[in-house]
Amino acid sequence: MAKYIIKRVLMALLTIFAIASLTFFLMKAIPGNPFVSEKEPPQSVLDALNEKYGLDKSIPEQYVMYMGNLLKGDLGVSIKTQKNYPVARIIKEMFPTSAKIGAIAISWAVIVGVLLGCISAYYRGRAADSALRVVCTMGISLPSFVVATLLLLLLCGAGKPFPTIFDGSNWRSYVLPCSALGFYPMCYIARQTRTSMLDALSQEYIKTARAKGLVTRKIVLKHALRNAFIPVLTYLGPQIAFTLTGGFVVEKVFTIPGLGKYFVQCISNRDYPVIMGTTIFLASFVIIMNLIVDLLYKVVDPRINLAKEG
Amino acid sequence: MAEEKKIPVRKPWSLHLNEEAFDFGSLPSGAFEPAGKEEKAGFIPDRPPTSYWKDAWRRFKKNAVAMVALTILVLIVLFAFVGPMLVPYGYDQFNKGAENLHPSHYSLEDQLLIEEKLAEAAQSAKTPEEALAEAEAKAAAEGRTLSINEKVQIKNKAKQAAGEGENAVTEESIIAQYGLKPQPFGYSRKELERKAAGEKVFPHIFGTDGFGRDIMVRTMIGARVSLLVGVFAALLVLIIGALYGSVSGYAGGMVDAVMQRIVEVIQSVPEVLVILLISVVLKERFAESLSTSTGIVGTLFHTVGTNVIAMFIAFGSLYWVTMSRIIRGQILQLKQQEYVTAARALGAKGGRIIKKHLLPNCIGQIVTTTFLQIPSAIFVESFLSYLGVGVDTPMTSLGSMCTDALGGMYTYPERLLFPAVLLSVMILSLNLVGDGLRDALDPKLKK
Repeated sequence: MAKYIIKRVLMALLTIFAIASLTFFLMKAIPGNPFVSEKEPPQSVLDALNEKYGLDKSIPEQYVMYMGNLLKGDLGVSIKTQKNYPVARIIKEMFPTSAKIGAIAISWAVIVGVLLGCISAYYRGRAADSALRVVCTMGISLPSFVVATLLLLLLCGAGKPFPTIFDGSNWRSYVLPCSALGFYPMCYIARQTRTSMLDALSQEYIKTARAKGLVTRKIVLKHALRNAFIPVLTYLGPQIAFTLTGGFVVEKVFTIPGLGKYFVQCISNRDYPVIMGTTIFLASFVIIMNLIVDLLYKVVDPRINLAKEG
Repeated sequence: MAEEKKIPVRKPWSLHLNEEAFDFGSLPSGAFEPAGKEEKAGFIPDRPPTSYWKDAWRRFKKNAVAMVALTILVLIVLFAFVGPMLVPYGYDQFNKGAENLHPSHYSLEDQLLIEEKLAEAAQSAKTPEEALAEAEAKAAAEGRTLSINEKVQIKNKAKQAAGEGENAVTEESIIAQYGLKPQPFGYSRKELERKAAGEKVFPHIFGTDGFGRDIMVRTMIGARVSLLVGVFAALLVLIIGALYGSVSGYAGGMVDAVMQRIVEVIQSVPEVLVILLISVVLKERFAESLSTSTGIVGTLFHTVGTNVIAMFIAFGSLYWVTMSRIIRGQILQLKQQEYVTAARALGAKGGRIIKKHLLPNCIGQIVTTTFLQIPSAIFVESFLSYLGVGVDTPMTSLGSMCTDALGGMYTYPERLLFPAVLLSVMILSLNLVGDGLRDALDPKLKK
């Protein structure tokens, strides 16, 4: 177990390192100088800036410097959107809103998704199952911006139940973004739960439980679901990543002042330090979440011998 | 069979094999009889032999959902590839005088009526200043002056009549009053006049955008771009994934271990995030070299667009991982089979065994996985286009059409709905056909 955890943590660190390096070299691949804007600054100013940011040094030296700064949590400063504002502080200010919406979205997606999956598996082949399968197949085919804009179009505005402008203190503001963001993971999880639930329901121990005379509700919720939930857990990691990137779109549509909307804004402004810094931050976040989910896997199901499988 | 020798007669299915029974040199002359006509006929198969693909197609046809999805998909492909030839407008053609058309129009007579009524309302209305002057003259004639309150009231009344208040005469109120019915398809005023003159005018079936570009043609071209991006990205994934996976699986040992660690690192990367990053940077990089590059690369950049190439590279560099894992798993299983040992014994080299023996045997898996890459590539493409890192203007894709439509979403919801619905239907039917393909090509997997 300890060996497995160490291995996984090292792997995660390696991945973060790879992404950070990729980011550095991509930054170098951008043509032109980051300080060149509409007005060409005088050479003396350029030299001073280059020296300040270490751009006069050789690439390997810059690389070491960049990595060192990353370790200290220094992600650079914004060059366009909010001039000279540290990226780390932007993230600190913007991320909580995004995280809140993402957490609500993924929570309802898991709860409703697992529930629908159980219903679908239990009523296999009947009308409820067919209807749920149609909805879920459609759900994983709808891009999140389509869902988000449709919701905005239909349910927001004057005389409609939800406000158009996001207001963090009003719970109504959260309903639609969270619904839009959680819809795809919900459908995905429902499909996965259905499959693994069908698998679990056909096992011998379910027959035993039935033979003992347990009520159906107890069999499904206690015996089958516990086993069916484990494969679903493995899909949680990728779904967290999806929710994060889906957040870009949803925040853009609902004009939520979160990191996602800011990120999109920086893409159109070509504010590279922010793009890079945010990518490293979000990627690390996803990787760590994945790691936690994978380790949880072991807790939930002690039968899995991770050291062997990993 | 020259000399006759008595051999013990044994039933051919007997387990007690006798060495002598295989002494073919000493079979009695009557041991074999020529087969009769009927016997021969019995060996001719009743139906023509089916190939793997025929068999799969037969299974696929039985799957009603997949067949419906396939039909829709064929229609979408026709719409995207044949459609633009039938519509006389170009996707980047500005139709002057036909800007901002809805997909419906009012007939020429109705439009004239609306204009007439509007003009009447405008004429009867006085400007606030005129109304005030009139009222002041009237008050002066009565021998009193107007209070400030009265002045404001008079001005407001006049404003209302002029079309700024609640009871104003507007296009909508006239339409409601006379019960005018919109006709299908969008025509501009000029086009309607030309049509009335007997000329044949192709309607703007989905309406037009702010530049007067026909939205239907743009939707067609957008669907074409999305489909092409999906197909090429899937092929790219196939090539990289198949190469990597088969080498890793076939080589085994240390090579496999190292290659799989690399796969693990790439797999734990959040793909969409990195694709976004790579596309943003490469787009910039390519745009820079676009002006200077000549030859094949230059033509490629000009025809396909730098953004699309950046997207391909980003997609291809990350999404092959799943494909390579699947192929590696299959190869690991297959390379234990006897025919591989036989091929190796005959002196076949690794490359030949992979190409001729291993890959053809996991073709079902490969086709299914490749096909299911298409919708996921379209998904990512629409996401990137939506965020503005997709295809370059004036080229369009369904995702970028949706972004463009966001501005006038409430006034022109159809601009958003047409591409969004088409995109969703396209991804849905691709997913369903992919599921059907999996069931048809790999019956073992079907539960």
